[in-house]
Amino acid sequence: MGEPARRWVQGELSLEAHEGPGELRLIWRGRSADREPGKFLLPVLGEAIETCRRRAVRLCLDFSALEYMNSSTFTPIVKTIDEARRAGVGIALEYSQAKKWQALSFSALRTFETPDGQIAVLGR
Amino acid sequence: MVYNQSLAMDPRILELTLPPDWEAVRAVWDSCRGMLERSGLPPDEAYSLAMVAQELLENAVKYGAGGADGIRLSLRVEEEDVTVVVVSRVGEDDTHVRAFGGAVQRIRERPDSFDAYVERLQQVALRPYAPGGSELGLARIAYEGRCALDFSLDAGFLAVSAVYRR
Repeated sequence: MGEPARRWVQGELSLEAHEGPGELRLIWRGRSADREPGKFLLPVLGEAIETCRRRAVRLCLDFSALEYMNSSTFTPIVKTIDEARRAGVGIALEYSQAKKWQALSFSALRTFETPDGQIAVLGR
Repeated sequence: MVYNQSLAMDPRILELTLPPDWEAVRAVWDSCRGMLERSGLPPDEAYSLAMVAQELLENAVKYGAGGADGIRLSLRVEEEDVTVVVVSRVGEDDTHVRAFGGAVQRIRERPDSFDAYVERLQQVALRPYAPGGSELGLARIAYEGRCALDFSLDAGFLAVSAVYRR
């Protein structure tokens, strides 16, 4: 993975945008432990959805390098899944199966998967 | 960041008093995880129980009354279980305490903590965006932390416990 096209930082959390064939990948790094993570995340993720809609590419949220996130972070993620669905943008959430907390937390998000693959939750 | 850290001789006990402040909660992650690992817990279990402590402390900051009493955290590692307790002052308005009690009861009534967690996620999806009040943290403690939740109210202090059976 080369240099990110764009990078956002809030406290100990960073999101890196990487443009690939057919997708915009946002790589999450560090820790998401703000009191209201949505203040930072929702504008960034909303912009990413809009970019994907215009370019007709999939949005991939890659959590595999993330070290920690509090439960308050799940709310903007769940809202982003819904926003992508309504915008007609395919969205994939990728997590690390080697990290037990990710395997537990993100497997629960499979409840939002759709049979057509528009919403996918993938353990790597 | 920490008001007081007891100098317990037993390395399997950690007792801290924190200011009711978000930064103070974030800062004790390493202390909690380190103590749990030094007590012989596997890294995944230590991580999971440090997460439990963080979620309980975050709740105490969000919904507690604050004040000079601070928030008390206790971590105890024993042969058969690990207990995390967070004690914080609550305000005269008992709205939060009643809501909290209802949330704990709902989680305890569900035979499968995974189902309770997924149900909370689905509720988050259905309601308009709002920070807090989702009960996701408590459901996560039960599911991801594999802890049994309980609480008691005494003289204006709410004590919340999460017990993990090893």
